[in-house]
Amino acid sequence: MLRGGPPGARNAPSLEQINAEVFTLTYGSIVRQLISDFEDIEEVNKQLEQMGYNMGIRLVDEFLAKAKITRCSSFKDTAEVVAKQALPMFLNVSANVANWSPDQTECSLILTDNPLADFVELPEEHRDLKYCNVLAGVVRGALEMVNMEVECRWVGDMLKGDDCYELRVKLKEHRDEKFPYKDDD
Amino acid sequence: MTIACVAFIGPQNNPMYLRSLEPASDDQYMKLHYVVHCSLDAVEEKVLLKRGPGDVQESYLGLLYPTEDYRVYGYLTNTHVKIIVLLDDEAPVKDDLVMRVMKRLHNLYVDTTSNPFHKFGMPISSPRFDAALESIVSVYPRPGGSVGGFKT
Amino acid sequence: MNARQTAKHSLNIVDRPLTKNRAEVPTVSLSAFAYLFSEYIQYLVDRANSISELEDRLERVGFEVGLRVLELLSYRDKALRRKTDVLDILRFIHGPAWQYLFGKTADDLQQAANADDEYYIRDYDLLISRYISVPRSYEAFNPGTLAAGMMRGMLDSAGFPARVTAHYMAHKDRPRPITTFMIKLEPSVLARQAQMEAARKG
Repeated sequence: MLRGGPPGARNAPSLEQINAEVFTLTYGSIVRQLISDFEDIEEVNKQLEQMGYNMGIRLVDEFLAKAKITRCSSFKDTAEVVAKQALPMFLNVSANVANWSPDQTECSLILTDNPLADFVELPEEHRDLKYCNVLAGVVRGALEMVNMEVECRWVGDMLKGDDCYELRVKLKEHRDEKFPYKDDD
Repeated sequence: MTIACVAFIGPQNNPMYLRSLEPASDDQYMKLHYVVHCSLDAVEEKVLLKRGPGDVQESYLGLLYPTEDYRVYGYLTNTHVKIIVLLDDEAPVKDDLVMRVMKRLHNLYVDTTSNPFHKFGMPISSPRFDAALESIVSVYPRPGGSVGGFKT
Repeated sequence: MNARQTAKHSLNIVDRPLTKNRAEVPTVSLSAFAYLFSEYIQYLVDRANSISELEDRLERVGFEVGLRVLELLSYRDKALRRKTDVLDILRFIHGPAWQYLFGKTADDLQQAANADDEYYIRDYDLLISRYISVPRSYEAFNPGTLAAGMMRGMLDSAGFPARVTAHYMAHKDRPRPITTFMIKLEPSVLARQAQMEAARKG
């Protein structure tokens, strides 16, 4: 009953699966509880990002172990890997990378299919909620683990009427690799 | 098939949504509420009648009763939500047709409950729900009119 | 267009087929769920003043999921007639609902020996607990409480209010403790059952 693996990813092996709707509904329930825990929607947004960040720093290990990709050296490569391998591996959706800045330090991750937000209709009183902010945190946390410090912000949100989810990712600092091993050893 | 009104009533017989498909005055709305409210008794009766062992508890309850102006149809979900549809056709309407609309309305209800911001038992206040309901009902256009109507 | 997208809800309800195709269940990786779940547990650990508060809050998250799951399943599952009997709803939870939630049916369903308002459902390897590590100082906490909340939500939604708790139990044939859910039905449910029995006979 549980399909293994995303149809689009060629290199990523299939991870154990769970019903997407259970994931979606659980996330929705968590968001709603956070809203009742904090009075301020901005606090909820921060909390979601922080949770995502904590998740991101942990899931990188699993991803690198299972994706068997060669280590990315550039921010551009990394963005492509996130969009075309990591997102499919974990969420069975893929994203596009677009809208690169001329100096190649800023780009957008664009999704039209987002299991976090299925069925969701944002009420007017929560219009400032960044419902998918956990994803922004995951990207920031994961990239930090490969020595890229980034800032993420949402510039498109389908829950707010836009035609896609667009996460703007800006590279702040790419720290020199200090791994004890290199590709050609 | 001419749909005059669609209503959703919760498990505690709490009204969650009532929509008239044509412009209605406050008085007319009162009347619709009344008709829908009375239909709940008919729902109970139908359900009780099917209480015996081996009796299949279908969701679609069919024609509950006719009033002077409307034919009242009912549908009861497993979560005890009642969907009531008022038709103002003169001639009898095929059950198949009404059942199809009811199922779509049930589907709509389920979609809306899947929203984490949905509050169970409370009146449904969702522009998306309103729009989707219109698109279900507009498949059966009312003679001479658009799908207008306001809800309370 | 992958299976997830075709199964997804759209606003054009009239275009959607009336019977949902149950063969294709959209999925995400269990890892995604586990990371989210672990992180939320950590969030609760940081805030709760006691294990019981931690469990209550987690249970509430599960409860809201359960309410919605039963609505979904009620619509989709042709076999799910309106449940009027306690055993019917419990069998449904043990079977199709568990299958939907966790990919397999639960392992046992049992009535308590000397209490007709108490039932047990057991899962030898609860999917959602599988990769969750609990901070040492919270050893008594059971992540299965999320599933207990889901069960309470489903029961409540179907008209069978109950309390549901999750417990770990060692099992001689299993390498890790199994999860036992204790379901305690509210008195109103039993009263109704008794009434129905009387009506049936009378």
